[in-house]
Amino acid sequence: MKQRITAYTDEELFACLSETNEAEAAFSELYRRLGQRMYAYCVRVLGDMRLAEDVFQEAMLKFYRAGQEGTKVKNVAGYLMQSVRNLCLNAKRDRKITFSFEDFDLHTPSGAARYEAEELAQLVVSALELLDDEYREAVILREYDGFSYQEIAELTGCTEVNARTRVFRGKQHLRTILQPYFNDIVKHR
Amino acid sequence: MNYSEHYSEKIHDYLDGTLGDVEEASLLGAIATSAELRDELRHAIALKAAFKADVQALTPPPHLTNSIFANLGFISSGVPHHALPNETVHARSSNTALASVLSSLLTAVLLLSWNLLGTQGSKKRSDTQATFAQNNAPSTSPLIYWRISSAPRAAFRSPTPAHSQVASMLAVSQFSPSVFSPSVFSSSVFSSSESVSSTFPLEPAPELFPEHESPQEQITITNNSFRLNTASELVPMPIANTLPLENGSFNTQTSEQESWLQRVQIHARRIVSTSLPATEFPSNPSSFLRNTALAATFKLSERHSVGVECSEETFYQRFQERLGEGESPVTIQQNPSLFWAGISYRYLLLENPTHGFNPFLQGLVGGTQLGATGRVMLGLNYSPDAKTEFTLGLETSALVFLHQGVLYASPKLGFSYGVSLRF
Repeated sequence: MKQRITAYTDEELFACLSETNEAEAAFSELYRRLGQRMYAYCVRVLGDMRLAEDVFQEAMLKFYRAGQEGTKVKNVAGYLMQSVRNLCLNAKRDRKITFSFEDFDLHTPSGAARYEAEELAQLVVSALELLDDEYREAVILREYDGFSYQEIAELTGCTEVNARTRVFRGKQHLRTILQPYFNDIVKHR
Repeated sequence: MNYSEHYSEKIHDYLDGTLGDVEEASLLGAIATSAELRDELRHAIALKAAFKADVQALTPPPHLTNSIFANLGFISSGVPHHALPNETVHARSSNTALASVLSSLLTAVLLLSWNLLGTQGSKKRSDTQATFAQNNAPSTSPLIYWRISSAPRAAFRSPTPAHSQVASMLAVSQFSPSVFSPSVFSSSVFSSSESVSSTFPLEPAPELFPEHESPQEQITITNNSFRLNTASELVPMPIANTLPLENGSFNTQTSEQESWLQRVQIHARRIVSTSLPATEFPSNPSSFLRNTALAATFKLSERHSVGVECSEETFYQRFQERLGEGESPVTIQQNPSLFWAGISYRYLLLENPTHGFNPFLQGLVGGTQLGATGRVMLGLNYSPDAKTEFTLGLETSALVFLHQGVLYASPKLGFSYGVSLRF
């Protein structure tokens, strides 16, 4: 079983959660496949590591129990994402998190000529927090979770065109926010 | 959506690998002529890399994974190793994964062929050329190094394997010599047709060297010097997809004649034309090739090339037909979509391109199912490097056909734009 489990589809694995002898292996494999994406979504959408961990854990437990109860799911990744998203929305509603531009130190390091991707990633994370929720979520679903525009539309309840527009606008806003850094990169090259 | 915004969106699609061939060609053409779009492209690539780096950093911590598994009654201390999330987030869908694999393969082929050409058949005439020797270079870095003839020109990080191809394609027009110290390289070295034949030290650009490399290794590079010749001989070539600095050194060698393969160029261009007189007459269904010309040419000399070209276009025909003896002729009109193929000849008007631009004249004679065809084109080439050309031109063409003993011509006028790649 453990040797074959990696060949199962997400849906087959989810179905295995209701079978006692295969549940752990199936869940482990689903966790390996989907866990990081869901966790990344929680962290970046909520902007609070501790809260994200709580939500992620709750989502994974609910996900497992749904599988145990034999819930029929056609798209496991989408189903889990929807569940994670709902929990994130609840968490945000219960604990409003706000950010302002001044909260972030966006000054260019003096004399810096090198911008490693990790460094820029930190800036992008800060900039992400400045986006409107719908833009931030669309960008995260696209870039962090790898969902198609159609899947994003289904998850967020908008049209595919709107999903595409949100992702694009979100990236454009990020670019605007990060413009000084990009200019600095070019200047130093 | 305005012009700039249209292409901005296309840039993101391009980096996602979801852009079609025609749109891709159009985008690359726009990028080649717009500094703003080039900036936007750089920023988009940087954003993409940042997203990936962030995703990879966001792994559920072990204590969280343990807690989840323990809550489910699984052996918390024995969380299976394979249960740790991997880094396949961007390869989630089968399409993306397939694109990734194909892109990686294509990139590998490109790198291999370029490297082979670089070591076997790509030597320039009687020039001293510097090559980079590398020994025991680690093969894990996603960095790709390019060189222009003898100099490492630009390095970039590939956000995902799929983007290696993107980046390698873009490098031909994107990366400016500003990666080097301005005092060492001036932009004229790369864009001017003037002979630049001085010897100067190669200074390492910080972007070219990974953080962990010691200053000592950089000094090794700094102490090397090499020679550039004419800008027209600058050829972008990937040195390696690895870190080439450890135990590496520059050597000079005398090069030889250009290989025949380097004389071959593949062209694709879009034809936008109208019949004379203009017509709205309907046409028969056509293939994907309609108004897209594909060609292969062989460079006979610096200014002369011959080749073959084919496409499909509509030709508005208007002719007289006599239905029977003694009856008055009737006028027939039709606008058929016809395949054409022919032999072309191209003459570059300048011996040396000016800032990469070179006007040309091109003629073609060929045939269709209904008659002979010919076309003449006055165009402008833009070559950001020795392997790539973007073309824009005015052209006129005609279908000449015989009907009931009378010769007719169906002229057309228009313009075309496209891209050419050299091996």
